[in-house]
Amino acid sequence: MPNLEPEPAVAGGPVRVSRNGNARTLTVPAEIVAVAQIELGDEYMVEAIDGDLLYRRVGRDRPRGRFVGNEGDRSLELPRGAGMPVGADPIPRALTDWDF
Amino acid sequence: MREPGADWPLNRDAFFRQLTPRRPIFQGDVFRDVPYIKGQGGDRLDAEPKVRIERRTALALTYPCEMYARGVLARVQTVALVREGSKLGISNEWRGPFSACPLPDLFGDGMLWAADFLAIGNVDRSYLTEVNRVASLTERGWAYLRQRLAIYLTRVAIHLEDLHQAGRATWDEIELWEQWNALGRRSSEYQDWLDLPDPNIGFTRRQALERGMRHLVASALLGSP
Repeated sequence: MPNLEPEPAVAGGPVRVSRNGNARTLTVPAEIVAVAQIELGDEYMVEAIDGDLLYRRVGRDRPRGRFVGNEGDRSLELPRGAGMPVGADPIPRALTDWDF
Repeated sequence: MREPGADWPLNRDAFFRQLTPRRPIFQGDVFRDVPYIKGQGGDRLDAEPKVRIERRTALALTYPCEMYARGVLARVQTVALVREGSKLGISNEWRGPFSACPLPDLFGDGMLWAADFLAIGNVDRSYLTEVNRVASLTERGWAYLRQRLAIYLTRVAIHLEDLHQAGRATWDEIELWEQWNALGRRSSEYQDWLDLPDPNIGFTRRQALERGMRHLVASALLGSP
């Protein structure tokens, strides 16, 4: 099944990683910084998946959501960029039949 | 709270809490011997479906706010079948498939099980009881279940921390409901008690939970007759 996603605000592009002593410095294009609301000092956990590097934001400085509504209608409104598209299922399942 | 990924994938103790009959039925609870109805059709629109009913292990899927009406379990509940993880092809890192939620060592036999979001159905509330409940999720396990549900339906991952924050008042509500039951009070009266204004708090106890004041509501619970 095709992975349907809204048109991205910016096109994906190369991100440069340089080594500085024991630390690695990531240079991110300004457009991505703006869209993902990346702030100086944000921390990311990096995971290598099938040759790609996946960055998940961690740390306390991450933009937080705010509650709207009351009781049954109460929900947490998340800032833009809080949800991360996961792309295609890495382990797609066969079509389901009635034999499960 | 620990950082996401610090203890990944989760083990049984991180995913499931100790069972107690005082715990109200909650989203993510797992039950055995739940009747699951399959209605296999023929090749034509007017063909009558071949209906089969199988007793299966299933996970309660309804969100807690829709699961109850004024403290009483709603008649119709939504469940997802629980199946062996190996049959769904779940990887050791739990990256996929997106259509399932891993349930690590659900039965204490070392096997990985999973709630199958492609096998969802409705059951009567009478089949979801503390007698046939075999597991309940921890707060972290519950957040993970909701994260997997969102990924399955939207292909978007919500940060576990956000899910913790969004579900905190509901989690506190169920924890205090369990305490309420442990005190021997009538379970069906808890929701009305939550909606009463508390003079020591300044607003209703439910509002206090929504504002993160669980300790005040807990004090009111222990202090009230």
